[in-house]
Amino acid sequence: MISQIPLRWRIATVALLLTMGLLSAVVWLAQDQLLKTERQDRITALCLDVRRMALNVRTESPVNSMAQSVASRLRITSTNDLLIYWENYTKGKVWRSDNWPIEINKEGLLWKEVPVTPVDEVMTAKGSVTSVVCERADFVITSDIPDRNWMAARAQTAEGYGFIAVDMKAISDATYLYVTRPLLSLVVPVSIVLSLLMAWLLSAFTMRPVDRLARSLVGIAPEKRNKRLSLEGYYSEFKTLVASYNAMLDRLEKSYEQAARFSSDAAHELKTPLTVLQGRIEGALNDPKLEVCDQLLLGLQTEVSHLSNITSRLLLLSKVDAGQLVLDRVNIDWTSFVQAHIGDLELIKGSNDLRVSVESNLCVQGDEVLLHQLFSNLISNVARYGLAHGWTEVVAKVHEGGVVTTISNQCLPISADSRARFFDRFYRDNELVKLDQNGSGLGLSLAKEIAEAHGGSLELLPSAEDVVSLKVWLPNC
Amino acid sequence: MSTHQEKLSLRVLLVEDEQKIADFVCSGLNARGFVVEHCRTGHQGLEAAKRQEHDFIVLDIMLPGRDGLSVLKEIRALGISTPVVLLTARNELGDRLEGLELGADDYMAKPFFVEELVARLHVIRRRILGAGHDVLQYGKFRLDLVSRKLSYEGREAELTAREFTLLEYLMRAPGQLFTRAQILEHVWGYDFDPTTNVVDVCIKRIRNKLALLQDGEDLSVHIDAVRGVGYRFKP
Repeated sequence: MISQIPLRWRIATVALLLTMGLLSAVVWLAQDQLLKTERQDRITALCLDVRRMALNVRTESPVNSMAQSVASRLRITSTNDLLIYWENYTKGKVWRSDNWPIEINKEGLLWKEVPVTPVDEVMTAKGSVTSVVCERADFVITSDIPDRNWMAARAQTAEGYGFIAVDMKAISDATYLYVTRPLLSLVVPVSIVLSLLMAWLLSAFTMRPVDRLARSLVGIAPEKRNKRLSLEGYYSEFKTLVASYNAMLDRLEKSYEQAARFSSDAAHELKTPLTVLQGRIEGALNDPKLEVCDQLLLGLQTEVSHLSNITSRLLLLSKVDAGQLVLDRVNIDWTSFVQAHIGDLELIKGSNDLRVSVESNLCVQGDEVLLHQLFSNLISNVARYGLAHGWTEVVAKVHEGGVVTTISNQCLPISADSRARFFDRFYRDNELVKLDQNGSGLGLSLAKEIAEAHGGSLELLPSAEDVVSLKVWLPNC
Repeated sequence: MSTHQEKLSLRVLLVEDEQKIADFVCSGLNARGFVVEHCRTGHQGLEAAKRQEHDFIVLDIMLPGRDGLSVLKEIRALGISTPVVLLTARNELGDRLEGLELGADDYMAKPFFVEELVARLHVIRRRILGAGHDVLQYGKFRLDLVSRKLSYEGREAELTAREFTLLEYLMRAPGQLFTRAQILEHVWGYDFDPTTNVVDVCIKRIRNKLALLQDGEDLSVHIDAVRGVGYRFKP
């Protein structure tokens, strides 16, 4: 999936392709230029050789002795790719290189258009000035099969006329071998490395403000909602982004505070009437004149307790949400702490099928009141939804640098969907709720928040469908 | 016979702006032998506290004008050491730290039971008076508040932490009716599931221990179940 490739890799790839393209164009142009220069060099070399021949030819054939040195100067491998011709007017002699096609004479050469190179004025060994015309010219041999193109330099002096021709293919082979190949073998890897480096640097440079922005965003923890990003040091495009992000945070903070204040205020407002109600009922229950109303009053008192319970939990949750939960951390003798709660569990469920394994000398650092509440919630959960004659297991031990306490019990089967929403506020399983309708659906979410406020965790362990296993991890002393 | 503080006619200064709450707290405390003076604002409360005529101050945190915490701070700054119980509606768990740091002796979360307030006042009283008040005694029955042991004619019974707290709660006010909700809140804390039978089971265990101690006798001391409403201690 293309959309899954990180932006940095995409930028790097594009940058790589662009740099490679650019470099290839440069290399190609440079090579073209080099080839032209090389060609010119060859012609100059041919011209020099022709001139040397024109000036030095005397009695014996200069052709074969020259062929080898010309070939090596032109860096071609075989003298077969060279044609050398010299005709001495004065002596009426014609010399040709060995590979000259015997049936072809001078007229058998079909010369193409000839650009004339400047005439050299050369001092001969005898001190007289001879003019040598060196022409760079191409020709084809009319009967030559396969068709070969020859690049030639011609020279004409008062004494004679001649040329040296070289097969163009041999020249381009030599050029490839001595110019193009070394060039490519050096330039290609260097340019690839350079392109990679460029691409990486470019992508890093582009991504740097994004990374910085991301780090800053991560730095804004939920409890620091009032923190905003500084506009300093960002490019103008990012400034817009940061500004809109800050504006969004403002709106979020405002609505968040409103929501938090609402639940806190609502809970607070509920407490006064609840207090009055509870006080009145308490008074009435102790009033001998009202004994007839006992069951009614008792029912009312239970409901008021229930309401108070929910209100307290809502208040505590709103405090957690607002990041205002203050912990009074002390070292808690965890072994006794857990034993006390197991005592309550025993009161509720009886000691049948209660398996207990608590290591001695466990110690947890935390807020004792809040942790009591956490475990009361867990025990209440077992009391409400555990099977009446099912087993319950409590294990507490040192684990992963902290203390892990697991409470497991048998229950009615719980669906995977229900398990996924186990800690959601106000969520209650439709089936389980039939067992007990007095739960608020807040206990476990509150327990989780308390564990997390301690830097610990509360999780539902994977288990059989009819087992609930809750694991609390809390930091050591 | 007993070390009941009610007979001493303890004086309580109640600072609470909510008239309805003040009414039932006043009547509840009066019924248990306390003399209550009620103030509606922080300023009035502070002036009353300065006279230092009270055994306890029950102080609401949310008050008009001057809030409870600042009154508490001022009281302690003036060197007045009268025990203070804070009433808080905000959040008992969040606000308790500040209050206790400022020198409060205890805090009560709204809504609360007057019985619970009375029990807390007695605990504070005991803490201040110290030794000599460490035993609750009715006839031959003794509840040692330090060793947490129950004894009768030399026979002793061990109590678990919950059993002890429950029995002490009932024994502090003999004849007084306590509902399950009140007992649950005092012994297990406000957040414990009110629908469990934990109170009844615990009462049953205490009764068994009481019966065992008074082996063969006519159970002169026992816990009554009252009209399905709750329990009371009968010396």
